[in-house]
Amino acid sequence: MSRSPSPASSLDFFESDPSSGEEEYVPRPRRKVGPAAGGSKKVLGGPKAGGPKIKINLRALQSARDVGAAHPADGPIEEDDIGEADEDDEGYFDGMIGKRGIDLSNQPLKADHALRPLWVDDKGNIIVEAFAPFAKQAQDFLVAIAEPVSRPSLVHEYRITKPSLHSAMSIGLETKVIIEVLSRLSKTPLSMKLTARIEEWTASFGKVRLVLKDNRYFLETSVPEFLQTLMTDEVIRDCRVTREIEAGPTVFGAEQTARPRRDYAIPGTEEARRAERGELEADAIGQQNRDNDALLGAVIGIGEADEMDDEDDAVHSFEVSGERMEEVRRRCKDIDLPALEEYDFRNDTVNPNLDIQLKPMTVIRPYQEMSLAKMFGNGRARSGVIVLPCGAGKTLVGITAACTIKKSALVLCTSAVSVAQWKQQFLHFSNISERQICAFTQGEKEMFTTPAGIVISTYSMIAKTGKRAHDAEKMMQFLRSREWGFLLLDEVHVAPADMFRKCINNFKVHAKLGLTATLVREDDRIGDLGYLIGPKLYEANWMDLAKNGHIATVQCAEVWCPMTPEFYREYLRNPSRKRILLHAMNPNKIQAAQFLINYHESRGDKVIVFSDNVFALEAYAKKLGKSFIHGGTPEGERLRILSRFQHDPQLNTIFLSKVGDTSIDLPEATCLIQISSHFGSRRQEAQRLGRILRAKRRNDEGFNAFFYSLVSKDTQEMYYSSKRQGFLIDQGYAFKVITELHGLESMPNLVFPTKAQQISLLEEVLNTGDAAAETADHYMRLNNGKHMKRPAGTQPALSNASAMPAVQRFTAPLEHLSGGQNLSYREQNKSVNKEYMREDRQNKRAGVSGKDQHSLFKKRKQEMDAIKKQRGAG
Amino acid sequence: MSSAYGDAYAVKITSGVLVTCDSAAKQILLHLDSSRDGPYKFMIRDVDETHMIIKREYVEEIKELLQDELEKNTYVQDPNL
Repeated sequence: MSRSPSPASSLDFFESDPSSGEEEYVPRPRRKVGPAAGGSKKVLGGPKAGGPKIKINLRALQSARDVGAAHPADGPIEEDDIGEADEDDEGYFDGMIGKRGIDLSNQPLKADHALRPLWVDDKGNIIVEAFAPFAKQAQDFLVAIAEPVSRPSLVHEYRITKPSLHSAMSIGLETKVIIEVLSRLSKTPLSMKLTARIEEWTASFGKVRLVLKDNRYFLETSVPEFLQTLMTDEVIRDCRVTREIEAGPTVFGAEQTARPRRDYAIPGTEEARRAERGELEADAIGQQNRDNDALLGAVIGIGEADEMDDEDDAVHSFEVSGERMEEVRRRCKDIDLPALEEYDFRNDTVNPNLDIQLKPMTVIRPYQEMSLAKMFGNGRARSGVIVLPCGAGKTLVGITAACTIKKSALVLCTSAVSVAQWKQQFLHFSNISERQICAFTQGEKEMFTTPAGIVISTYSMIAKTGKRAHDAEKMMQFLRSREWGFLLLDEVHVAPADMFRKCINNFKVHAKLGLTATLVREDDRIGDLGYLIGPKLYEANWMDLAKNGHIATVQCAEVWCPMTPEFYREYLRNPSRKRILLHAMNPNKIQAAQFLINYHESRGDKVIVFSDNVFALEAYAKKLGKSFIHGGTPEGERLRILSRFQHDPQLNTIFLSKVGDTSIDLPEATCLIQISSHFGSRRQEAQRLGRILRAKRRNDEGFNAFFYSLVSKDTQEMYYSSKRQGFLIDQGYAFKVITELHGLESMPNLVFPTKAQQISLLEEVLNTGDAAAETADHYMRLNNGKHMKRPAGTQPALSNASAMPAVQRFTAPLEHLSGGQNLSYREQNKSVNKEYMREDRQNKRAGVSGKDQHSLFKKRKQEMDAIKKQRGAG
Repeated sequence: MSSAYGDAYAVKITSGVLVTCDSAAKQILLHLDSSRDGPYKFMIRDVDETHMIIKREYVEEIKELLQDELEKNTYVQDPNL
């Protein structure tokens, strides 16, 4: 993608005073977006250089518009939007759909097509006019049956795929409903090819279920033919368990049970609240109101389809051996009858109930309710993945799910920090008592003593191989011996598939729920999740959440920093490992970072600066006099800095390495600057953006969070930067390109103002060892689970002797040999971290001696001491 | 080239093309030039940060090479992602 920098839009708000600048970025209602955001809509209208040209014929759109113009009452068809795309000479615009594009111009339009929001081609690609009257309803439906491809402000793209249809089936939608609703929403009649394809794909799915009931696994289906197939299949036949004693009413030698219906409420929802108050009739009215919204009859059916599907069909089931589950699952997949896993938690009498409820003050938001409704659609818990943006309350979704199932639960997350956060959130939102919930980390190894409880742990603790400490081993045995009602997997995208298999197969689990913000990986492993956990149950639309104030509105910008000639010369000459360091340490970039930090601090923003490269992180932080946290930062220091960042008005900027990418909760942060990143990882970009989505101030009038990505021009960073943005652009974010920061030159105390200083920086960069170029921060490494403390920025460590060659060479100035290099450097740029440490220590000392204390505190201290003494005596 | 090779005061005339570019592009050109030998070197004089004089016959070739180099840093979205 080549995006021409548009000087008009480049950071003009820096020149204007803050108040008018903010006015300009008031989140706009959707209908007005067209003309105003025209410049930044690169995703849709912008021409893309290179690559396969993909075209969508606009003639059909054009004629729709003409009809719309002829009947002004028909509603707000976005003139500007179409007009803009129209400017392209050929009447085409580039899109990402399909290989050859979509041509629907020969299709007859339905008479009232202006009211219908969808264009559907015969391959299952769908274009939604998000401005059309029924777009809202159409989108609710499409989220269920198709994969969202791209969702910018006005025109959305979806694609119907086999897995997406399977997800739809798994939440209870039926083939005929899917086709029916799709054809009602479409502007043109559906092609036979597509309907045939949908029928084919959905024919076998979701008809076979794998249920864990009373500690026994059952395969069940409502279609006798499938039962026949399964029972005659040689692999599955072998796995079948027959029990002579309890022969109930049988069909084809299998048990027959009535299908459960959904007759309970998810806690925390409006529905449940009303039921508590005994206002059942109000519920019915509410339902009606909701239905009245949908004038197109089809749309009404969506909500109900969930609950009404295959009526009261008899369910046929037979038992399979628990030890051979893996085999059965794989075989079912092979013979095209993938088994859905569901947990009938209300009829589970074997496992003790856990008395857990949401506190009455806890309210869950509409989209959270919706995602949970998908999970508990038919009265059982379905396994699957829920995708919500960072900061949109994933934790609450997980807790509510646990409160619905009310069985022992196991929660797995990525780090000890998030373990503590989960525990705290559980105690905050639900009425669970402290002794029913326990953490299993390197520091804490307790077990609950009640019959049921919740255990929170990390992936690395569970998946650890090799020898464990005695108490950890005991804990693992305890975990393995139990049967768990619910397995909650936080940030499911992080762990590679083999580790997952271990986590999941080690435990006897009834229902699994994965939570993530970004269901993308740069490898193909993401597909494995569907097989290991379950289908995607729900994916939220980021833009909608932002508009409703659930997450912050973010202005994204990419700042282009030209390389200085000296740095660029070295960049061209050096091998790629060293290049990373060179473009990260580009003096122009440091200046830009300094400028942006100063600017935002003066506006009262709290700034987080991200750098993957630990060397650059430390160098920047020391040069600019800010505190930093990376994998090697001791725990105490880390907590001290984080709490300072939250409470101290003097500390407004922190530098974070990869450790801050996920799960560090800093709701104070409102501005984010990225100086170096992990190649083209779209996930990292989105996760980092997530750090500011939960900004506390997000509901202030006209509030905007800012996300800057600093990129050294003419380097690989340009390539990776464009790639990284892919995910966010598909979520509807637009990146501004800033080529020049006005006022940078005239800023006082600018770092590296002279050539000589820049060159000495270059020398320093070139003389650092290779280890500094590495972006890995070992703290997050999940495979070894070790918390490696690596003193970054020093010469390469020689500790790992076995892996390194016997002799190691590196270039260094002569004073390095005498140790003189470190001496002079460290003294000039003192780490701010240490200063805070010293300050704290001084405060403490002062507190002990009681020198500068206020008399009030002195008195209190004396009283406390007296009490302590008394206790000691007693 | 004049025939009086050893004469330090003799006037030498070489025709060339003045290239104006940004400093990064110039660094790329310098890098290209430094990887070449003898007659294949194209630079006649390094003027300042944004200017250089190169031999006329290499202009087209250099344009292409420069384009290739810059293209490496441009991301083309993969429609399959």
